Amino acid sequence: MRIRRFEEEAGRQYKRAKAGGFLHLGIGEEATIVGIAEAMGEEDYLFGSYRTHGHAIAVGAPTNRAMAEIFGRADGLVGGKGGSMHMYWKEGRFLGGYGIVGGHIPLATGYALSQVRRGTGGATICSFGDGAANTGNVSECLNMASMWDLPIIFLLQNNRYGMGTSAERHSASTDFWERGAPFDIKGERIDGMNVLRVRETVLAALHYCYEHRRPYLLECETYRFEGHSAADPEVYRERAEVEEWKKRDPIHIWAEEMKEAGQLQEGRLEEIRSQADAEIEEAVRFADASPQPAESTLTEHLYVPSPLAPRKEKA
Amino acid sequence: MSEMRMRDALNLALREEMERDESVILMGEDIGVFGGAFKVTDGLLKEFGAERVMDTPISENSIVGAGVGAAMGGIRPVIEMMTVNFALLAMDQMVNHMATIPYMFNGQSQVPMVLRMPGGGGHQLGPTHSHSFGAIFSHAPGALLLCPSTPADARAMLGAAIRDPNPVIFLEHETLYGDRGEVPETPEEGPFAAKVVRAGEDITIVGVLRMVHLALEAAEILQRDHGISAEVIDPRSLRPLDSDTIVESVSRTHRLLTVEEGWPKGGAGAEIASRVGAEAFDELDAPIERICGADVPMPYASNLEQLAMPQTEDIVDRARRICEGGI
Repeated sequence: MRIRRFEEEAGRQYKRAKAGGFLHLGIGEEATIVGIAEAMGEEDYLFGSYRTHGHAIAVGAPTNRAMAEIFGRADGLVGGKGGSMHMYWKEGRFLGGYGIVGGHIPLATGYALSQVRRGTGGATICSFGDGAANTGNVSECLNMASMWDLPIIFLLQNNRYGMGTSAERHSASTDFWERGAPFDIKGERIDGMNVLRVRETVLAALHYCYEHRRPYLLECETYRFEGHSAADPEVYRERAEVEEWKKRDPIHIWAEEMKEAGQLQEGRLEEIRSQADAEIEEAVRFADASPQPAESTLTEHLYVPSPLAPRKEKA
Repeated sequence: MSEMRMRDALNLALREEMERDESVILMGEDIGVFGGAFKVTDGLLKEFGAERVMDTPISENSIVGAGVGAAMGGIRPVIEMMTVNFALLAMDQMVNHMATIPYMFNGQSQVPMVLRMPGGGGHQLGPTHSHSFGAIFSHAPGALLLCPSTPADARAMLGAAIRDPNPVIFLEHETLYGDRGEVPETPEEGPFAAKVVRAGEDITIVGVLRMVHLALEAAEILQRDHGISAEVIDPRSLRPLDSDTIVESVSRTHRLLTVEEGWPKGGAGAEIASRVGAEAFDELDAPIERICGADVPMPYASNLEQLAMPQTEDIVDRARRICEGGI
């Protein structure tokens, strides 16, 4: 709910030109995002794509600092250096949103290798979309992860569109979960609109990674209710299709299941909603009040000080 | 102090760092069982095992990316690209990830890794295996770029690169692997400022990688046959580029010639010329000149390949023209 409200508000603020560049909202995909975060243990790490405001927030990044990042302010999660596509929250073991489609897949693979080398236990989860599924990095990394027995979940968040091109138009086969098989990697496809189902499946997949020291491919079928980015007129899909999917709103599905199980009392949902409203309102206030990054930060953190690093700006 | 070949000096540096730091691992195509396409990693698989000397599939972009991710996870990968041309397949990981991540995440993530690769012409490897991409790879901020020309520097600089917390691109020259040189017991630790490898008074010649050796040969001829005293400088690092040492030299010699195997447009020499022009314009008695590789892909035929690469005589002739005018 906090992510939903965050994204809705980010979209509104973008339209008011408070945010620059691109803004990719994850509305509709919250069940997959939250399901992953809820399943992660103390030694599990998450890498994401460019649509990852939700991932950062789900692992605990404060909404006010995430909003400040979108606004390009000093208090942003990465000091205004990265923006919407490059969130980062190490405390929650979210190691970044990455703007190059599929570019983070080798990073996650390498991170899993470091977990093995250091003997820390845990696994790496690499979330990417159906669009990224066709980058060469995926097949290269499935191969390496399998050959090297890496504990990694390739988590394919299938929202059915690579930007404006539907999966049917960008993929010869849309059974993405089967793509691990040629590399001897087990795969599975689940309903990504059901947060409890996602959490349970990711938990099981993580345990498979820990116990068997093997990679896993998990496809979560989901849908983004909004455009690819906030500047998308959505000429590539029918309104009716979107409306049909909206009937399967992940928040609604969760609420219904919880009510049935007697775990969501009357009025509680409204309470959560108004708490989220207040939090996001406060996040916008915080982001608005946060100053632009100091000009001195322009060249900061380009290099770690070392004997070899440039001593002055002239590199 | 002992004499060794460049490839053995590099091998020594790898072994020393792997012994010193358990977290150093090697990754690359055919670096283990095969011992490396140029035998730089020979024997290391046997010594350190397959877990630390990892033969990889031919997946350059993912190898480099996996190195970046592993470095983010606190280990120190040293990756070999079989040639500089193959590294072009990994440009996304090199530029968008390796060099960018520390800055993009505002210093919250570090990428301590080394990307070694041989380049340069002279072995008739043709248009896709013989280039010199120092200029391309030093263009992007965030990664350092070292280019040693002697066994002593190769050993010292590779060791320092592996210990460094920043990503380092490490350019080697195929033709220099067999060159012998004295390697001191205790390596230089860095920073690796540009090095005046021959003192002179009339002209400063800056050579990159193998061109340092040609510049030294040319300097001997210039002195012997033409009475011209050339100072030769090896920049050793293109990022950072220590132009202060070059500017200081030019303020004494008042003339500058740069020599590189890479292409002319936007080359290392262009960068050096720009800086010297801006910082030492009043010191110059002649226009700055550059000798570069020919502005064509590297041809295969031996005569054409040599024609495409700077030769010692080219350096002699150009230096004379700068110093004497005419010719």
